[in-house]
Amino acid sequence: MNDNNLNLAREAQDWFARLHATPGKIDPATLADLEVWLAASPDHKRAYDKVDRVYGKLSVLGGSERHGIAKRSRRTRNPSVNWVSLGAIAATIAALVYIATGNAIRSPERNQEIASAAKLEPLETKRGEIRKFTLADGSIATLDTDSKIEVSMTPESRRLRLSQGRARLSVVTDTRPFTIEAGTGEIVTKAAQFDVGFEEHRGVSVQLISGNPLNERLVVDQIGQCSKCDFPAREFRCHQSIVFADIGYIFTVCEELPAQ
Amino acid sequence: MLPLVEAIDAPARAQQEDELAAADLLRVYENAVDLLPPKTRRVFLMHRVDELSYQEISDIVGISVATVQYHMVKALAHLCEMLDDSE
Repeated sequence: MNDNNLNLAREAQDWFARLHATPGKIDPATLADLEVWLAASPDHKRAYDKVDRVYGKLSVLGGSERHGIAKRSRRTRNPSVNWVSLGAIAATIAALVYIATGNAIRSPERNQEIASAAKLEPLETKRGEIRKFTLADGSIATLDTDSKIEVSMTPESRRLRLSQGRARLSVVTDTRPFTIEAGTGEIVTKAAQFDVGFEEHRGVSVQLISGNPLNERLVVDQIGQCSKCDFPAREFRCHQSIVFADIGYIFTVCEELPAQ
Repeated sequence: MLPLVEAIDAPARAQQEDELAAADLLRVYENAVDLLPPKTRRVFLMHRVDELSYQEISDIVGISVATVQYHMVKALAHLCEMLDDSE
């Protein structure tokens, strides 16, 4: 690393440390100053993202026998307030990143359904924990560390919302569609296996492991053309696409572009 | 709304592999944290694992808030160098 990069990395680390003085709370003035710094150069954002990424990875230390919670005096805190929430705020700094898999505008009925689902005891994992849950329809959700899902099963629908972390979902065949919701998008499937997870800055990645993508409500492909999507494809630019030669493609993180 | 039941199945092979990978990853992170100077390590873990604020850490450790932030930056610099392999 040359001197310039070293200085830039140190600046980013300083900003990160300043912004995270109190877990779960962001000082608006510091955030505003940080936004100015980030906007000054793409290098600034890259350097900050790196710190954010490493800090996020270190959440696994919670499960460490050497350094984790079991070894330390744990304070009770609001579980909904953690570094992931801070990541959500940081996301406002960068361009909004959307999973481009469905209509971002939800119907009132859908909102009501999700609200009901949210009343359920959420299925979640602690830091350092990986756990498998079998849902009422027989589908399996394997949650990565520090993850959370909410599930709603009705006679007409199956719906799962990933609200934090990452999950591998094995959806079994059923007459009801299975809707996987993450970020502002959704995937509708009848039987498939997916990995779904929030990436840094709350972008969402979706990877189809098995299943026929032609049977799914498709996301955006690797060149940004949308098939069967509910929004104009030109408004999105997609990147981080991976092509699966045998089963087709589905792996996109899409960025909303400014209106023309 | 139907109830959800936690799986009691034996872990699938893929899951076991995931758990092994997670364990390996954890060891890498633990080793990186071990290399921090003791006070920096203590401050960092109080913040990252215990989720204490700088003010709370300052009160417990008996150092200024500015010194807590100094140790955090020092820890982040070391850990970013050790752990980020995405570039």
